[in-house]
Amino acid sequence: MTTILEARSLSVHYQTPVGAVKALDHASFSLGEGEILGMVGHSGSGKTTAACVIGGFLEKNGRVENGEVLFRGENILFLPWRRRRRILGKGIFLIMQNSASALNPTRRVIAHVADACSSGEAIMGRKAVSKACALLERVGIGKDKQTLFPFQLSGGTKQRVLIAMALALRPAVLIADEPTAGLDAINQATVLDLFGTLKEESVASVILITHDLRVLTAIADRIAVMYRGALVETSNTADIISKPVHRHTQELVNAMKTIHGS
Amino acid sequence: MTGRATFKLLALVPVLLGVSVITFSLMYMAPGNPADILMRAYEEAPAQESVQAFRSHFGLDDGPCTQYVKWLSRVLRGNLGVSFKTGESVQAKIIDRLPATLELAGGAFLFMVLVSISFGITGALCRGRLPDKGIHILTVLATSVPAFLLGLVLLYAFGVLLNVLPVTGRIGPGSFLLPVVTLGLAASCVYGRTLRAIIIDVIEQNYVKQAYAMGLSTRRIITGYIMKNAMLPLVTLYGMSMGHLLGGAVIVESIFSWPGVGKMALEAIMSRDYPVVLGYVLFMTVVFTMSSLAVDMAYRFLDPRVQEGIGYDPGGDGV
Repeated sequence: MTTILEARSLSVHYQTPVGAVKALDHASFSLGEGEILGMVGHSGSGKTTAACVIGGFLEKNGRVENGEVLFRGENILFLPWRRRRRILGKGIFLIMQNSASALNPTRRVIAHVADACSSGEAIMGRKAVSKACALLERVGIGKDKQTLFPFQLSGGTKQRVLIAMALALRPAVLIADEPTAGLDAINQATVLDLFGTLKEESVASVILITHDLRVLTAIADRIAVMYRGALVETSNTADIISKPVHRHTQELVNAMKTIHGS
Repeated sequence: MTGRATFKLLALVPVLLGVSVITFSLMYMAPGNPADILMRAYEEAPAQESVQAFRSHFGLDDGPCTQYVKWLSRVLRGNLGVSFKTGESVQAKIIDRLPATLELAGGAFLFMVLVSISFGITGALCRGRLPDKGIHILTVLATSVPAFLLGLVLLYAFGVLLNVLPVTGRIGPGSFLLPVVTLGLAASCVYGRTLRAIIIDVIEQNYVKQAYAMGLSTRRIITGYIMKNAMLPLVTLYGMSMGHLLGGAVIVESIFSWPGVGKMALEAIMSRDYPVVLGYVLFMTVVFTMSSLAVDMAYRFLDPRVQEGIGYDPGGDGV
């Protein structure tokens, strides 16, 4: 499997009034083409920071102290914003954490997806809208809901809108930050199914970030476990569940088994 | 929606009553009486009899309350009275001069909207760089120089030194430029600055980052994701500015001898021409209320969350 994205020894610190906080500490991982890599860890373990650094949206007080991120062999970490933007969307598409705020409150749902269509395929106007309409139907959002505004939709539907945007863009790498957070079990299953579809149709290689290990067991090829800013263990999904090595991984697996049974 | 509009229209009645009482009292308490001032315009020392005749003709010998009630009953019958000075009907006077003022205020409004939007976007996108700093300096200058001084400076520069624009009056499009800029510049800069702050705030929102993450063009992000949200708070300001523009027109029209209602009002105040002043004030109150109502409507049109009536009421007064 060819590697499409690789992070090498990535360190990110946040400057805060009480001193620097290490969010990522020499974290290394790679993503193969057509693969779904799950990233799991407790809150504050650096998952979102990793997503933001790769996606190009590190907070202003964050600074990359060390390391590189190779996308198709090129280090994209220190590209000027103008060149970095060319990769965004079709190259690397980051779905922000918290779908409630990721959609423009004064823009209709279908317009969001139509924008994604015109960014992904350079189609404009009515063509983009009809493509968007078809994609929304595919993720299960009927015509009656397509012209609504984001605040009129449930969390699960908003997440599906973001997935429709990913389908429109067909990015090389899709990074989804906590796509199942705050969703009920049925919506979680639907959203995960859609990520599975993305993989089957080899639309994108996916990094799926979550704090819920169980979500990953169903869908991820490999799982990377983060602990205090470092990647402590990366392995095949089956191996992580059956023979976790690192103490923190064992804790996560045991916790999952306690809550959901084996 | 219609409930709110009706409420605003009904609220106009007590507002108009209050405003007219205050204006009437102020006019009554101001030193000098209209009979004296107006008669003196024609003769050095007006004869006692003619002053008395004037006073009784216009009912100025009545007490203030009687005068007010008489005036009010006339207004309720749709008659704003006649000017002490010229004998013209006040309605006719206002309607006659209204187009000039609307032209000036409308022009200044357009100027303000265009300039503030371009200043706001430029300032926010070039934050801290040369264009932003230039606009900042211009803003400080434009807001600290009062309109009458700015008007005179512009007059001198373009009308006298460069001699490219007419100095006064309302003759052709050239005469339109200086008053419009004088009237609109300060507000343009202030709103441009406000818009810049709002845009900077909106750019930090997740949905704008998400739009960047989609790889959209800068133009699409500005038009589709930033401006509509940034314009929402500004619409309120624009609506309120309409009243300030019409108020500011009093000074600007006087400087440029622009034949509008503002100049008329100032002359009427100078000669204690009560009916004209009162008519002008009533008219302005209606315009001010109507523009705030228009803002309300615009808000509903622009922000889907307000249409829904889900209790989201940005910038509203909670009515």
